[in-house]
Amino acid sequence: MAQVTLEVPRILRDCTDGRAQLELDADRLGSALAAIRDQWPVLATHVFAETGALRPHVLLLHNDQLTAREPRLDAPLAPGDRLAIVQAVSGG
Amino acid sequence: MAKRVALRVGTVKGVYGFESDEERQSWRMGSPLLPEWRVDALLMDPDDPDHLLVGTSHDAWGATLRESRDGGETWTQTALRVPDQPAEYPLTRIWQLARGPEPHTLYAGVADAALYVSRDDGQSWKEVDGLTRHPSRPHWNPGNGGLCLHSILVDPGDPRRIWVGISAVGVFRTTDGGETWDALNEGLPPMTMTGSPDEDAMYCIHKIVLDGSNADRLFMQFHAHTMTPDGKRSSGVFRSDDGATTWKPIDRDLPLKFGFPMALSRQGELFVMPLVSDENRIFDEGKPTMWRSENGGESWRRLDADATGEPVFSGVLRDAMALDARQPTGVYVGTTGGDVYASPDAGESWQRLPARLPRVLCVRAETYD
Repeated sequence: MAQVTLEVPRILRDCTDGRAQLELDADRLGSALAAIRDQWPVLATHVFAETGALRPHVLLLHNDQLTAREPRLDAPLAPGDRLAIVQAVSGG
Repeated sequence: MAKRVALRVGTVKGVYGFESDEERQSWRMGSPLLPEWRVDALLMDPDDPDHLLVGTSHDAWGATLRESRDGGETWTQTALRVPDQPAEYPLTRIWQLARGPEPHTLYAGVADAALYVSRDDGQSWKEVDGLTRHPSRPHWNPGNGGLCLHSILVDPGDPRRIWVGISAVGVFRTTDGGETWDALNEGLPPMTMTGSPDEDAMYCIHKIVLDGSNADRLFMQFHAHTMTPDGKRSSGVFRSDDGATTWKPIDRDLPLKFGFPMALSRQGELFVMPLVSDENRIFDEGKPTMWRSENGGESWRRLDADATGEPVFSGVLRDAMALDARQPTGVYVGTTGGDVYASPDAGESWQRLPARLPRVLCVRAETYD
């Protein structure tokens, strides 16, 4: 299982005991998202809608690249890959 | 022992606090709390001024409950619903927090309209899903502020008897602790403009309050919609004397019927704060004006909350009025323009507190030793 990092935006760090970065064991994007749900359920409440999809104004970056609105869950992750949760620019 | 009064104001950007001695003339402001979060609901602890429960939400990040036991220095966060519980309806905001008469019991009203209950002081929550199983649920439509469950009233003498108010849907009552609910809107003018075809779900009620000394008596601030092309408006303030089974208008003497907040003191003083109309949701002629009834709505007295002499073209939202339990009653109002007005004498005299805040969503007051 690859160890990847997940960057947490400042506004959500009270869901992660103040941590800006989490380490997740995941070899696919889908297993990384599942790890967020399992290990950080309050963070997951802010990131995922009731449908299980990302909230409409939440973006997921993989090695600084935007993933699709519905991320490919079977996309492989390599050790050291970086994921980031980002709020989409909304409004003016 | 000298008492002090604490005021907490929830806004679109955080919570703001003020404190005064029991004279309620001189107010001190505290530090802003949770300034990145929208705060639709606040619950103060009558036994602990440092204990605060807050319903927070954010357009991007959704809604959770936050609790502080040290006056806002540190917070813990609880999700009413976690993402591994698939749900038919989204949970976008926490609109109301209320204590039940049973030990350790809290209620939360949310959008999309649903009622949650906690039996462990807010550590864990469960939806009272008898309400959302009501046959009218597919025909519940939102008002301008969303499909919100904004009023939660529990009979102090019978905790199985609960009323909720939902915009733009109506009043529901359970007498079995939440298993089954009845829609109770008899006497209210139907509102086809809610878009609901269901007679159980077409009433845009803005606020309901319960008389704690007589739980068959409730009051309601209704939408007071424009009914005819010539501008005739429906009644806007109603009373029930039979536990919400039927409603009758009590606003004959009120020149304006449309409004959002309503508050009832322990002494039976009823306060409303009308706006011009459903089409023009601001104070009439730039004057923030409150009306008080001391006889259950039979007659009303006008109270000018104009504390500065300046025109005020803002409004007041449904949860942005609060009373304290002192005598005379302290009255507190936050406006959509971010002003907070305080009266130490049941609305006879007013001051504007020394701060201009974000748009005010909710106000709460408590008295402490």
